[in-house]
Amino acid sequence: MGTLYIDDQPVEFQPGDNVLDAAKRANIEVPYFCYHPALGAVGSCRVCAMETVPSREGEQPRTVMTCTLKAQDGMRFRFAQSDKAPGVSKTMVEFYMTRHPNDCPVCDEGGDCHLQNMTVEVGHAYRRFDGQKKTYPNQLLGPLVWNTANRCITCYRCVRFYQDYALGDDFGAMGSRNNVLFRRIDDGAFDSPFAGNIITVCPTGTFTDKVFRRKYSRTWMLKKSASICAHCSVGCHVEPGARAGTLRRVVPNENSAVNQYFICDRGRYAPHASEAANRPLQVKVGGQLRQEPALAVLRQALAVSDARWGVMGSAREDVVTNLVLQQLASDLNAPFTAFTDPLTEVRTKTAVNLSLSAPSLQDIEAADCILVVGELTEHAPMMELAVRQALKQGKPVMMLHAAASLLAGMVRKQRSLQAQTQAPVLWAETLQKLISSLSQEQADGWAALLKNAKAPVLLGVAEVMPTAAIKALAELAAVLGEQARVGFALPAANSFGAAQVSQAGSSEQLLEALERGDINALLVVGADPMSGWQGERWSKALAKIQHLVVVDHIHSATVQAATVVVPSATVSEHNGVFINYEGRVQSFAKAYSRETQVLLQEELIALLSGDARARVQSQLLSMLGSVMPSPGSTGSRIKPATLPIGQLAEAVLGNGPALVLQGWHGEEEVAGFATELASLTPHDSVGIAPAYAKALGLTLDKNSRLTISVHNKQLTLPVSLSAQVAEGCVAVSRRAFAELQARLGDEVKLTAAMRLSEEPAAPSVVAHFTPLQGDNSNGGLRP
Amino acid sequence: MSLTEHEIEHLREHIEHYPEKRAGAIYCLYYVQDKYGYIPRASLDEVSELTDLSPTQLDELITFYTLLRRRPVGRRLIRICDSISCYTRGSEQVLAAAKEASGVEFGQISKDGAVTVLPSICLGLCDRAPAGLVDDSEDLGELTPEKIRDLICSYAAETLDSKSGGGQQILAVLKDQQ
Repeated sequence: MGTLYIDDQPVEFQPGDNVLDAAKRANIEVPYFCYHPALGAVGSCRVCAMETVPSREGEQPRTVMTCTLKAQDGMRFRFAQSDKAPGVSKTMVEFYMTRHPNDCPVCDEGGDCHLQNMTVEVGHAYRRFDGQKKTYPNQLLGPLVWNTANRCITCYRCVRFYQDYALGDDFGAMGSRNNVLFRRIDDGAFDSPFAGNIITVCPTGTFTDKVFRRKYSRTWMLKKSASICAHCSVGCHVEPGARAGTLRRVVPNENSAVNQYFICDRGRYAPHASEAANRPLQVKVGGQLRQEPALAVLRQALAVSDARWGVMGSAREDVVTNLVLQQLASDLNAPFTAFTDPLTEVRTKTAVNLSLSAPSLQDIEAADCILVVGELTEHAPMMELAVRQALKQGKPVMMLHAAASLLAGMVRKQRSLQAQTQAPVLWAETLQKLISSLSQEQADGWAALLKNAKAPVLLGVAEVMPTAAIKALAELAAVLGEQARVGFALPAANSFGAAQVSQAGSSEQLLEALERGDINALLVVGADPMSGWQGERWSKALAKIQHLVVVDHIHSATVQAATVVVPSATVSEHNGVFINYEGRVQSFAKAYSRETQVLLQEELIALLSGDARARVQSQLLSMLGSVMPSPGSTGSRIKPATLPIGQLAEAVLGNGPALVLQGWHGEEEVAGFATELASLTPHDSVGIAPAYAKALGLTLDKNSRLTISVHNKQLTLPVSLSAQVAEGCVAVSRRAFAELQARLGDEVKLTAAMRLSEEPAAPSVVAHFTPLQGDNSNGGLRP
Repeated sequence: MSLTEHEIEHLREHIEHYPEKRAGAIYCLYYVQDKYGYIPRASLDEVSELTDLSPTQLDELITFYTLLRRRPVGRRLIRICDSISCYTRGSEQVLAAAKEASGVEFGQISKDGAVTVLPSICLGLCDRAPAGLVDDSEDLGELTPEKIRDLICSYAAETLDSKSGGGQQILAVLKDQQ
């Protein structure tokens, strides 16, 4: 804390601030480009100039770049009063504008453009340079990001984010001097799960949102709200923007202590599932479209005389919705669950019970030693971005995993990263061994690193971790002492909340009641049991019942099988409360209403009796405390009582290869319906380690295919040889799991299948030329 | 088109001299360029494997350094300085003459595969301006349009095998282009 003076105005600053930070905080409009709070200062754009005020006799005033100057008590600057500084800024902006196209009226960034704002701010209005503008080729960067290379002012923010902050390596700065381009070596989509953020950090329209581009609106005409991302358990703050009743774009909401400035591509593009062509938007009863209001239809459906109901909530629906459904179930005297899969329920609840001191993303960034169990990138990308921040500072990161993961793939480049592959059934044992070696005098390897750490963080992926491993990870944290924190990436946005409202073993009970025929009607809100881990069992059980009422906003398998379909609102379309993986209660606000009427989840309360409504209120109070967090605030963390958990048998170590999940970072139940994001889904393959394939007596290469046999089901897939898959495991996608009707850890039989035809001969090298040449002494691009 | 096991072994050995693998990237890229006359895309994957830099990061290096190139050139690569000293002494005319004599645009391979002409930043030969550099090794001074025309004609007259390596390969590339 301290005070510095800009134009004689006192400006308070926080520790670690530079002068530009302090000025921005005091609402002094200093122009800048290359500076970004998360990326730091490089002082390359020369725009944030101020003039020092001499404090001693004989000292001359100097022009300084405020972003590179650490704020100190008593510093004095002239900014508006200075003769020189505004001129420096203006001249620099004029330089940037010599090459920048004057295409603001047709530019996607127009009206929301940092360069435009700064140009207006410094007062540069007329172009004096009458030379030719340089032009550059745009690069096709896949379905999510659009590149307009001519607009670049070479601030390097994109590469600093992509390579330096997010540790990506497939996008870079090409060329030198006044001939620099930011691109990938080959056209195509980015590898990084965080690529969309270059749109946010770019101060011009060089990188724009390609999905937004297709349904564009000027940003000041968008209806916006403070919302929470619904696509993983981290609960990042986002700002959906909508117009004319449709979602146009999602950007990170910067005013937050959760995700700070960035979101992952899943968070940015998965919400576009709300615009999927097949989204249910009208009430359907027995396949017939109905015009009545959704709530009336629902009430009618629930009033059927011969029905014995069951009710299913969802871990991707908010807390209030699940509470209401729970009370509705008790009104109907029906069993209730918020989970579709008994095993996931047990694992989630076990993880929730042990998450009371879960680290926030900032805690993870500040950790001095991290142990990751499971493929974190593929389940909670933003949590993994926080791990990358620790990794970048050379902090040791250890990883135990069974399938290929982007984080594990960085092991060659990041010296402080150690990855070990192992079948999930062995994880608990490995962690126990780690615990016992901690107690030894001379701990070595991972144990030594954890023991010597002052703020170790342990992270697990609840969905793929056996319950014993979840417990062992928490035990490890307990042994390490109070400074250690353990957290788990949970399967869905509100898994924490869903765990609080479901009884022990609720999903198994509901499933068994259906199978026994005790219930013959099911109300499902926001869940898709038929394509989850127990899809086969649910499909069989649901085929028998007379009434399947489904309330959802995606065209899921369960919606397709429903007798009554009631369209519901997406997260951007209603208000609600999520509880994230650390137990942080965060509410989100509705951004817009759709033109066709959909059921808002908060309307469900109208189905309840008066008593039940009161019970919802009191439960909400006892669960969340007296204050409901306002949308946009970082919320407060709850520490609920330990949840009771039922017993469930888990996969045991077999002799044959076990199935493990090969996820990818854009995958989630709703995200699968976001056309553009889903188009990047990797091709299905069966991942196997070369050494393990050899041990099984299989001779494989990149053209081989394998047939997986399990429970009388067979599936033939191309082979993906990867040392990142654990010994004793074969990794397949969720889709393959569904097709095989298999569960995590199932033992399978592998047989060689017919090979893929050999690839055609590689095209001649000439076809591989990039537009940008190495011999660029002539300006590079045009000979 | 790939490096032989022997070559990879040599590069690996060289890289081991550095504290960091990526420090060996420039050497590897030069090695590939010496072999093929330029750096093909497929070689970037091989160098990437050796140095732990991604192909994009290698391309960042290549585009930064003028002496590395991603496109094939003729048997002889002629660089002619267009920086200030040479410019004032008439490099513009020399460049124009060179372009005319080669019959193609700067950066392209002449029809007979003999030469590629490139304008270059300062070569440090200002005392002999306008200056040039052939094959990144032989320097040229006091160039005139006549001199450069004669030089390019003499290169065109060279027999294919008078310069080891490159010749056949470049004709093969040209054949592919047609």
